[in-house]
Amino acid sequence: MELDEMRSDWKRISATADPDAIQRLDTRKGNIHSPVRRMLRNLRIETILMLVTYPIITIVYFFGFRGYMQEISWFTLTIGIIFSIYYYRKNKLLRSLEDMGGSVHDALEGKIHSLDSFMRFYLWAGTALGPITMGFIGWLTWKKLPDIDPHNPFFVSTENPLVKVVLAWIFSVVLVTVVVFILNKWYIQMLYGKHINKLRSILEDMQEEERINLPS
Amino acid sequence: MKVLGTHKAILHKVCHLYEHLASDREDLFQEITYQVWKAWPRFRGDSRISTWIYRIALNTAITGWRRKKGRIRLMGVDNIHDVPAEEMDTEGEERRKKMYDAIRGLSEWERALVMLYLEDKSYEEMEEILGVAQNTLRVRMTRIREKLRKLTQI
Repeated sequence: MELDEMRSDWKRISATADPDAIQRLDTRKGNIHSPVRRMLRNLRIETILMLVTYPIITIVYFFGFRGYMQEISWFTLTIGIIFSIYYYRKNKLLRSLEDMGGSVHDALEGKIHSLDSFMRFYLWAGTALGPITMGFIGWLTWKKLPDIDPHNPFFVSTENPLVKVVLAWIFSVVLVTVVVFILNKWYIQMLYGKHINKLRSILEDMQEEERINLPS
Repeated sequence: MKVLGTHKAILHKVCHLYEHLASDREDLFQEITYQVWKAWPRFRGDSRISTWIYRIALNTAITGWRRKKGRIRLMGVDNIHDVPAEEMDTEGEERRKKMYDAIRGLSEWERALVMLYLEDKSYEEMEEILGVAQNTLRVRMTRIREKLRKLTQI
């Protein structure tokens, strides 16, 4: 069958189906189940939880325990700041994924770029949290607990010279970082990998002729 | 809503091209309608409304992130179009089935191109909607014609 022969058949396919579909939408505006909208909703819930719990924890540790545990409130404050950056970037990404204006080519490029940069940020920020938390807990333990077991390889004592302690820390931090990196990468790939690969393959298909026509 | 009512056919055709299952089609239809409704305040009128709606519909169908229902995909004339029963005839039905099956054998963006071609859009308008140079579109159309010929001969 020739493409032009399809035209007459194509014209007959019209909007006879479901005449109430648009009217029905009026009642479903906020209730359409797309992954992006679900992620936006989850992000809002996460943010509300952070806004409710983090200030309380920060204030309690700052003023409670006669100021002895103030370091924890600084830590939660740091995490809160990192979360604000995460919220800003994720919200921006999800909004850009929802933006359907512009030509198909531009929309594809824009979405791939946004997803790529977000995935990179997500991977490195998520991975960095592992060693940062470890370092903080180690430092807090060393500072706040005077009676550390002298056999503990992570703290300098008569039995553990500085070189041995440094090596123990380097080994554990590298190990934790590698494990967190692998898990994080797998998780990000599971969340966004399939979608970004699909977008990339469509864009490559669109650019095929341009690539063929490029002078070698 | 009035604008959507006028251009409902575009939405239905896009849904039919990109989704096999009726429930997936309804989800896509709702998603496109929602996107049009949401983007409407930003429409500045620098292109035709139909061009703008095509962009949103195709972007939602091609670049949108949707979860499929995960059921068996049905391929057949019964679930792919909405021609009134009185217009149906066996030969026409067979032809339409062949047409849809052939178009679905194309890649996602080729389907969009074929759709615009069948809708009698000029290459200029196709460029505006798809964002690909007219020359490239012409070259691709020649390849699609060849592809469809082979697909409908099988």
